[in-house]
Amino acid sequence: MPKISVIIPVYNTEQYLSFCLDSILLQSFKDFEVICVNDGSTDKSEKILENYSKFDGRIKYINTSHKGAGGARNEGLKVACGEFITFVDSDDTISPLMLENLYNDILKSNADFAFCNVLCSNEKTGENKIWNLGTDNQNFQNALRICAAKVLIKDIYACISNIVCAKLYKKEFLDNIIFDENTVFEDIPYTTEIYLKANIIAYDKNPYYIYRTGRENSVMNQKNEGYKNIFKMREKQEEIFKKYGKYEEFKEVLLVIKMEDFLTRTISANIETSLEMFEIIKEKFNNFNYSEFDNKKIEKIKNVYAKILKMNNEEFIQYTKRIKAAGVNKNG
Amino acid sequence: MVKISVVIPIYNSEEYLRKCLDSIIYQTYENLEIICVNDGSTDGSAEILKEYENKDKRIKVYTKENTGLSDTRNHGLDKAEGDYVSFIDSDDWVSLTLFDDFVKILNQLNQNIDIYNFNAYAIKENENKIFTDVFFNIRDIRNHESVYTIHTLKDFKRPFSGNFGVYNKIYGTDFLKSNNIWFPSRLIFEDQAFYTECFIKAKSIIVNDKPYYAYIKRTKANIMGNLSNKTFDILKIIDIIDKTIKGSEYYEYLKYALLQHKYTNLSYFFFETADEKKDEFYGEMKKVLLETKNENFDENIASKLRGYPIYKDVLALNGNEFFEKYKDKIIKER
Repeated sequence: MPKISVIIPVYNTEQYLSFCLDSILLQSFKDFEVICVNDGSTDKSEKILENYSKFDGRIKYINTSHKGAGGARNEGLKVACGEFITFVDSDDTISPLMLENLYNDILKSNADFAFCNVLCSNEKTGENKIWNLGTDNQNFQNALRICAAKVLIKDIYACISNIVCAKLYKKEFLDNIIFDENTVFEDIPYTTEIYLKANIIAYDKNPYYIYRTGRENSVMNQKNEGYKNIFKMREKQEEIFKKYGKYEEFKEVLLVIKMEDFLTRTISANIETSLEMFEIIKEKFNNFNYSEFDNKKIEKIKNVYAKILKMNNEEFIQYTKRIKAAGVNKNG
Repeated sequence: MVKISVVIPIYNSEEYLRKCLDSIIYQTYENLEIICVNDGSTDGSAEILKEYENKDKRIKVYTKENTGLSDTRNHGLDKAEGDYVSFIDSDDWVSLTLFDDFVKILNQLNQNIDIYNFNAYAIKENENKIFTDVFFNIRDIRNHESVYTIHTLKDFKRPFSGNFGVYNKIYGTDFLKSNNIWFPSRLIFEDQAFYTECFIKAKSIIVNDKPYYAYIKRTKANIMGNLSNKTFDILKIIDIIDKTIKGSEYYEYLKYALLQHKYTNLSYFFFETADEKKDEFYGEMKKVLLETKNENFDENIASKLRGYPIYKDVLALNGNEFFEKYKDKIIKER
């Protein structure tokens, strides 16, 4: 049995896939299996997977009908037999010490999972920037700070930087948590649940995971239908907080995040989708009852919405153009 | 369809040979001829080669007497019939899309090129620690807009720094043969000479900063073996480089880089030389550097070269004095 299962959903990434797999073969930690789930690719990805699996027996691949990254990862989880799990996206790479160091982090701290920082590498501009997953504040300044989940929740923005990658999980801990299928933003409910369920989390501030941005054809850059899933996924996030009895404590934070994200995604989408999403926002917030929320904490976004809800489509489009021009796009 | 010749020199490589060969036979681009040249190995390399020859029709194995890496690569290059040729070291491995991505670029460019320079990971494996650094940064190349940009030597900001590797390039076979570029027989440090000749003569170089090659620095003895008896080869190599550059259109452009290359390499290998030969080496080294006085260097420019005082000291001091002065510094710097 390998110690670590690396699960990689693969969808039409022939340009990047070999670099991803090379980076796993270059790991200092060698006791792993790689489960690549070919999510119905139509390019040369499958051929690359086939050849890598012949090259190194630790690399395996399975084919599935197209389900999106969430469904593909679920397929991988079904067959993974490692004691620990990590997810890597097929257009990213990981630095050679990632598995070893996160593995040691978990062992030392008896954590349910360990996470590290992410280096964003822009394909187009060549710029590299560390995305520190919202762990700006004091609690996270030390490397390998062992945190109880309770402490972490006080710094909720760390858990709202939703990325299922750059983490190493105990398989046992993940047990019944699965991804939503056939949607994007499936990482939102997934990361929410792991943070709420965990007792101990280990944090390593080194940016071991290299996230490729600025890609032409990435799923996230298709400003289309998929963006509408943000409504469902943010609402699911709230449900999970309720499930773990944490909703009351964080309801304002969640409302603000939800409202900001709805707006951000709506603004970034193409015009047609943007207007559809604007309709949905109007449906949800025209008669929204804010009385149960502490007004001070939600005032800012509430006022923005008040302004927007009065706009007609024309005005809204103008508004989105102004915002885009100002370059304000937090989650983009 | 483009055919690529892959030349693999082998000498007592049984430990890593299978992985190297697997990374070639499982390339997603299949139109390859795989030329394995066994330089008189005394371990199990020959058996492994036979096994692979039976397994894959593209593999041809040649065996020769042990005369070193240069002759072995030349033997393979001589047999190469592909449009392009690649040299892979038998203890390394390559990314499985190396040749496919290369051919894709060629097809887009729709012209022949002399050299395709891609990046590599330099991996130091000792005490289970792995460090990976890429060989070069794209910012070291001027006027680089994309992998399709055609370059010449002048675009490389530091033409004599860190890019000598034979294995992170793919070469036009005709380009090499028509320019009579071969590896200097029976000499080590052959990569410096080969690199110099290639880059001086190349009219079209394309650069991809993505890493496709895992160059593994092993701690055990390799093809170079015990260096201390072979350091004198650097004198011959420097002579080759010197003549190549002086006979080219690049002399003025490379004048100072060449000087720096001479004194840094010579001083480094002086310290690597077996103790009983150090005096002799120093004598030769001093001769070489004394000759540079004929080149009329502008002191203002030269004095800004890194390590310049070393050059001055070789000219002024004798072997013992130089040894005493630099014995702690030089090894550290490397």
